[in-house]
Amino acid sequence: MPIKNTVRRCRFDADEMTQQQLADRLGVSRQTIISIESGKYQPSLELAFRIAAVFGKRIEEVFVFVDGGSE
Amino acid sequence: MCTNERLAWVCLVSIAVVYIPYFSFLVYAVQNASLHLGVVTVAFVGAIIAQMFITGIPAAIVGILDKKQVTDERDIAIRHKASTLAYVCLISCVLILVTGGSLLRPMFPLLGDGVIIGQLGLLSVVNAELANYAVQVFEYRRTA
Repeated sequence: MPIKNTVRRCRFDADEMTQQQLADRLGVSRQTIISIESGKYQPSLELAFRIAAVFGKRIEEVFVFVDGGSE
Repeated sequence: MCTNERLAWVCLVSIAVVYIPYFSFLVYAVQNASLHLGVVTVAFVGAIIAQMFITGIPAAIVGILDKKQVTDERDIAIRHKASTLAYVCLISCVLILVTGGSLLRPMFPLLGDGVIIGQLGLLSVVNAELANYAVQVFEYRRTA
């Protein structure tokens, strides 16, 4: 997947927020959070912004585009 | 496993459990030259009633046990992908079965054209539904 994320790291930094707590705040299922953290599901732009907002970060601090073809 | 994945499993299994025996029975009746409108009608009504119970009861139990069920964007994306593939499957089946059905017409001397077209249409819908829920289950597992 070309987009990596630091959601798991952000959760631990946010007083070890659980996946269920994050899911409840975002209005999604815990399975969706698991899929996002493992990189198996890429969230929509809206959800990505909302995830970043939960942790008080900018979206590029949580989601990083990894372009393997450049450089 | 989330609620929507459980429901997809229930629907997939119930369709397979009901309609594979149903169409197998019709094929068996064709081979024994005993397929007529009464047999088809009884088998069809039986299949509908069986599916109501096999799908309805587990689905109700899943719904009751998991009251916090949430349908989010991942569910919608998976359903969209599944329904797109199911639609392609439905159109393909209709085209193939209508063409094939007209060629196989002499094999069903005891049935009217409407019954044959109805059964071929049902087979197309069942195939499309199987594809729909199979894709949902596969996508839920793939992104789990």
